[in-house]
Amino acid sequence: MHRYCLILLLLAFPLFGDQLLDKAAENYQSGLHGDTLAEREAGFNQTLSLLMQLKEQNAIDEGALNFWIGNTFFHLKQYPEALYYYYQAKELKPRDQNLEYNIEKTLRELGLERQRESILQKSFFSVPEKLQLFSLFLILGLILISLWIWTRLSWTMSSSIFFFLLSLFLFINVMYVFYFSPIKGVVTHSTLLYREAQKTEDVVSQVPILTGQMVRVIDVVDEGKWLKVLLEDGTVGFLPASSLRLI
Amino acid sequence: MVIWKWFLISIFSLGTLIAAESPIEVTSSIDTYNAYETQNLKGTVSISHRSGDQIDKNSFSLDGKPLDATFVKQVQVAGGLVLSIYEFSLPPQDKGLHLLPAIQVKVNGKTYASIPASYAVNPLPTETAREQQLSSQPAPTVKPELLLKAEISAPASVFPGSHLNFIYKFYFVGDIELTKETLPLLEATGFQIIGDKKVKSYQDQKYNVQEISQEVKALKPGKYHFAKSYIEGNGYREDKIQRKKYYFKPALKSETEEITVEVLPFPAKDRPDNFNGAVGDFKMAASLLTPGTAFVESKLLLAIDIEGEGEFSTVKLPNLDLLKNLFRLSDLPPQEEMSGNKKRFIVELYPITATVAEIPPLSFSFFNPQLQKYATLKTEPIPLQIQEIKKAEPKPPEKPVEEQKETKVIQIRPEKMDEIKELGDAGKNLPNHFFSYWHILWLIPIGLLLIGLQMLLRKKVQEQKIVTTITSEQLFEKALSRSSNPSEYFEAMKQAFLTGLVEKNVIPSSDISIEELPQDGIAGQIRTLLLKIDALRYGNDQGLHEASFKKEAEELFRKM
Repeated sequence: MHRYCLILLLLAFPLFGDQLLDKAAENYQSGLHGDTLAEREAGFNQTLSLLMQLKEQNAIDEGALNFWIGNTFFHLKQYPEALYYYYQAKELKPRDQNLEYNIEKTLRELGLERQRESILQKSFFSVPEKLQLFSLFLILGLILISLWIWTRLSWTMSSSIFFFLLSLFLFINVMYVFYFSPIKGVVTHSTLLYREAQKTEDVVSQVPILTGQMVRVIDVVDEGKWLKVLLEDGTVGFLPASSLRLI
Repeated sequence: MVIWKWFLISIFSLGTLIAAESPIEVTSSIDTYNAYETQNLKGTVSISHRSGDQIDKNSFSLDGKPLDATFVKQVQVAGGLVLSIYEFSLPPQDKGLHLLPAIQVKVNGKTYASIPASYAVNPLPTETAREQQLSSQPAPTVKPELLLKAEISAPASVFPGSHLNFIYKFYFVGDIELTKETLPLLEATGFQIIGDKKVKSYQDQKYNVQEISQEVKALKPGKYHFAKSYIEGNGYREDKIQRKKYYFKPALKSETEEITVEVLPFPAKDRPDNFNGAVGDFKMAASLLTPGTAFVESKLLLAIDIEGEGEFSTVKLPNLDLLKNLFRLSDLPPQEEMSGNKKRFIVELYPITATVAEIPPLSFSFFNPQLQKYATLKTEPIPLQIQEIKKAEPKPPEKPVEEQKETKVIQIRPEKMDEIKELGDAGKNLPNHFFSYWHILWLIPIGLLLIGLQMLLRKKVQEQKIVTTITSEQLFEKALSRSSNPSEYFEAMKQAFLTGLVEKNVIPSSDISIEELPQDGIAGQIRTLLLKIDALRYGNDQGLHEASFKKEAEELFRKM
């Protein structure tokens, strides 16, 4: 009996995910085409609620989901939140031009300029894509080395080494990204940059850090309540962790 | 790999052996640099030994007499050895060259001795001679002097929020080494320290001046007393040859008077209700950054500029309570920008109704410390045209032009939707990408395991193959047993010889024709025999069964 219940539950789960997706799309459309501001806000807020449920289920393409959430926040004019989700989507969809356009647009709304990325900072493939390529090359290498074991054909050995080297390169690259790439964050609440991790301390500058600005997190202090950050111009200071969302 | 392993083991063993066999060494010397006649002489004994060795401190002796040696320090050296250093003193000697006899000491109960060494005792320099040994610089003609001044750079009246500078100036002549300093102004008790201390040096007549200043902010009204500041130091001249300092006496001292800073409270008289601590002399203006014609709930950006002279850190956003009945304010804090002597606040406003006709005047109060008065500023009202959001209505039937003017319906939609790129797949199934999770890294151990298993399997298959291979000996026996059947006999004999040649590594495989066999050596003899067998087979010669042929074949087989 229990087994049947479990099977039914497993069968129902994707259906439930699809229903959420359909419902979210429906609400999003009503938000886009609403005649009044209230209708729009209701539509977009409903969409957000459903998309957040989908995000928790981790059942659909996260890059696309973050893009969608970013768009919904944009229409709700919550630009810092929109940026945060766009940047998250960018990590998973690095070549998406539409996403790039939306980021530029959101930054303009916030009165900010896009920070120039160096060639070293740019990534052509996302980590999931790199993992896919890694597994493809590894499987090919395994097939070829198996052929060599049984047939001793010399070309199978050289080809397998080639694919193993490709997969090794991707593995090292993925590990580097995971362990050594800098942690970034988006300022979601405008705040001053402090010299020390206390609000009673002096500020680095009277000019506040504006919402939507991206910063690099160098250190986490005071049990995670404060973050030591590096701004694009090289300034280092402390921000309350509540003013920032890590990408 | 094995060679490397043995090489490393040998190196390690050699190192251990050397360390184990390192002898205990004792060396001694006299500090000839400071050895002067009529003065006690200082010397050191250094003992190089292993860390666990016991040095008997009371066993030091010089010329058979006990020597009082004091332990100074122990230093780790290479190879697990340590160097223990002891100091001793000898009575004064005449100037000239002397011999330091061997110093003996017991280590682990065994006596060790240093090698005797010579040392020189220098004549005691006179003051004049000492002067001549001093650096090539001419002797200073000025007497060292030291003077401390404390100052406060502040506006005429200090109020909470005012910025001040606490300054110390050190005036000095000649080289002076400070030995004591009490500088309470730098601690700035009761004030908030702003930034780091600033230090600058300059010349003021005959004095070198070092100025240290600290910016502070007044926090609360009250009188703040700072005790006397005091410094003390010694003037000196440096002997650059001997790298020694010669201090002048007496010590130099300087003291300042007590200082009191009064932070005045803001006067209660005429204090405006909306005063929130701004100190200075300012002007204020408000302007709209977005068009003044808008719809209900659309965003308006209001810029409030406060310009002038004063403490901008005390300038805060003017009170916006007046606006709250007409506008919805953003939950986010307003943006603040500082440029030169101007601070700008940018506020987001959303009109609640279409009846809003203007942004009402905003007021801002500050305290002018020059005039000792409060001042209140008001902005001009900013006119607005706010339109209600209406739903689209069906187009009315066409009417004469005159009437149409009166009944024209303006189709009003909410503020135009900002154009962004929409997600093309929104609403469609968005499956996760296959093989894009970290779990895929399990492929590495699984792959390695599969490769290992396959290699093991192949090895086993090959072993089995070898076991099942019939040897040439067996084939030869088989041939002999088939002598009644010529066809089987010939075939088995041929296979026995060819397999035998394979086993002897003469030919690579038994699947070759007889003609392909080498013509020299044992292979050549076998070739001749097998060709003979073939000729006899196809010639139906009964001589094959003769014992002589069998014997020839058997002899050749054994020879092979």
